[in-house]
Amino acid sequence: MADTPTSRVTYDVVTRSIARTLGNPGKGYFALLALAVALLAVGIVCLLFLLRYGLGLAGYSHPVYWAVYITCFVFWVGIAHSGTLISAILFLFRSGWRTAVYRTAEAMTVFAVMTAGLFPLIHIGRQWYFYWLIPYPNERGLWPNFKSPLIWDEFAIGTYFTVSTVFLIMGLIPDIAAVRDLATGWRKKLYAITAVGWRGTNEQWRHYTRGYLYLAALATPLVLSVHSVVSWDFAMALVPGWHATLFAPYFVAGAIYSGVAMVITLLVPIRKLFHLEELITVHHFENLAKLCLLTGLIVSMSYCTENFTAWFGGNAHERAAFWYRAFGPFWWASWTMNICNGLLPWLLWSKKVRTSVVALFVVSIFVNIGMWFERFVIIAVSLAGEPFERFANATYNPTWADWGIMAGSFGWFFMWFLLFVKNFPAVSISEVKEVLPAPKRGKAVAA
Amino acid sequence: MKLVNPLAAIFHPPPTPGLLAVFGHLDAAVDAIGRLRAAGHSDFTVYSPVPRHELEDALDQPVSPVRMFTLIGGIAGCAVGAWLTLYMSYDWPIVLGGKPIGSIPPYVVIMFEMTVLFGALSTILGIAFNALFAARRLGTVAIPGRIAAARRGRRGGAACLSRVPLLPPWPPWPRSPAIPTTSCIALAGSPPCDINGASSPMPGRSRLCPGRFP
Repeated sequence: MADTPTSRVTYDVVTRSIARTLGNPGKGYFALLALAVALLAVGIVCLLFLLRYGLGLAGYSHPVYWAVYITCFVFWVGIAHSGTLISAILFLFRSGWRTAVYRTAEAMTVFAVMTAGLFPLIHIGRQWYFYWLIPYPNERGLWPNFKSPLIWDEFAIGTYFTVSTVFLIMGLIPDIAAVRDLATGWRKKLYAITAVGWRGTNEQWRHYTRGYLYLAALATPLVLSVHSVVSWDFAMALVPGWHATLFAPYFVAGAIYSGVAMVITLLVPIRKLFHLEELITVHHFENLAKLCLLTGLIVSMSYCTENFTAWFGGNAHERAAFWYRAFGPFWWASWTMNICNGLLPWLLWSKKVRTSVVALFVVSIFVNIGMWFERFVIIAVSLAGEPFERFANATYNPTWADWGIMAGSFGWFFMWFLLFVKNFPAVSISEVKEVLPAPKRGKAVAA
Repeated sequence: MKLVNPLAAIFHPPPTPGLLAVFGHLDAAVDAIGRLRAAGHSDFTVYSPVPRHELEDALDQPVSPVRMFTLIGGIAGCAVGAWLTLYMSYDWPIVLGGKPIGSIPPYVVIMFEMTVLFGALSTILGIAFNALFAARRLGTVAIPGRIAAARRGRRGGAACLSRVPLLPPWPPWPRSPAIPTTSCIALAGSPPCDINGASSPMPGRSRLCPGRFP
């Protein structure tokens, strides 16, 4: 069975090797965690300065008022998407290989949305009024403008965060119950409470499996809608380079592309640190690489389409915007994006690259860099080259406050992720068992 | 003095006297379920580390009512989304270019998101009501130390009902052999403590973790 982990794996091995991830993780883990916390500290210091002195610290200059923070927002929302793709969409497609990697991907989703959600709040300037986004009865009798894509975005991200969190927790319950039965001490208490009385009875499974199916069915259109809504933040505006009907599918494909790359980036060290080589095999990495290749090609095609319509559409402003992107002062950003996202995935056609964990790790990092620059090019460079405000066409330079907060977001994300994999089963115990052949009479137990 | 925990009755019900049969093989468990049902038993619980279609088929249970929760939640969410956008737009009209104040196309986005949000949350409620809270009423199955006896009856659940005498557990529980009111079939992963159901939800009470299972 190609979709199962290696053939030596039995129910026993699954439980034990996943439960081992909850044990002492070794020095490498704590080094990574310390690095993440240090990055977060840098971000917090920069954020405190930003709160004290205002958005002037960020490198905004007219007309570039959406820059690194919004780029990070779109980047992190994008990272989140592949988690839901792997956990919900591939669940509906019944693809067995997802079982070994989906928990990591799903946790990544939750933490990436948590990270993404911070950026609009940082970006709004008077951060302490963030609750004005929420429709609540107030003394001025004001309500939000529901025709604004920014309000759609708030609803989309809020829903996405809630649904992906409950989806993650639902998936965790049977596994927490399994480790509860092995754990000792305070952990036993923690798992006993968080397993909410799960005992794996037929009644529990009956309702659980149904409910999980419906959650997956709800999460599937949700994930497609969320990045579409994010793309409409731009596409609804008239800025050349933004105003395109292509944006929704283009953004969704890009999101999954960057997200799958991030899953690979995360899984390689996790697999090594926690000795999960038997469960997360090269086969899983190859499948992830194929997903990456597919979505990467869709993204490349979107680039071509975008440039083609800019040229063929005959709109002078649109044409100028795309010329500015490729050959203007930000040529380096757009060529980083083109090379990392357009050319690099072609390496994945080679089976040698797809089955080499090290090569995949390197490729995935470049894909992440490329996807960050894609958002930067779309957002900041389109604004910088905006033809409506020629006189104000300033050069834009991100400052230490931009980079510091961006670094902090990586620290924040990795910190939560590392804490999660250490304290909860990072690979789904019950779902990995599901794809193993069940022990039957007269046969050896799949050994 | 030990305080009486009012929730104890719910969260720590007294163990239900019964019989536990542990199966190492899926088809043996399926067989036993078939025989139990043929003998007219319906008050048994099957524990398994993973959901298996074979068990579902053998048990032949009705479809879970969770789907009604999802449906009602989804419809309610859509309605809330429509109300939120339309009411708030008319309560504070932003009139632009003579366009309708309550314009449906942009509001579909909010309605969709609310459908998913409410649908998902009510699905969770549905699972919680049906699976987690309702399951507590069955009581904790904890027949200590009698795995070996139960194992002897592994050839079939029905057989083990009559063949293996219900041995009284140790003192805190009644000494007289009770009539089994709940017989449990546990399809074991190995080791047996891995059968998620076999230990009680609170620490210190899980006693079904002896040694190795074949």
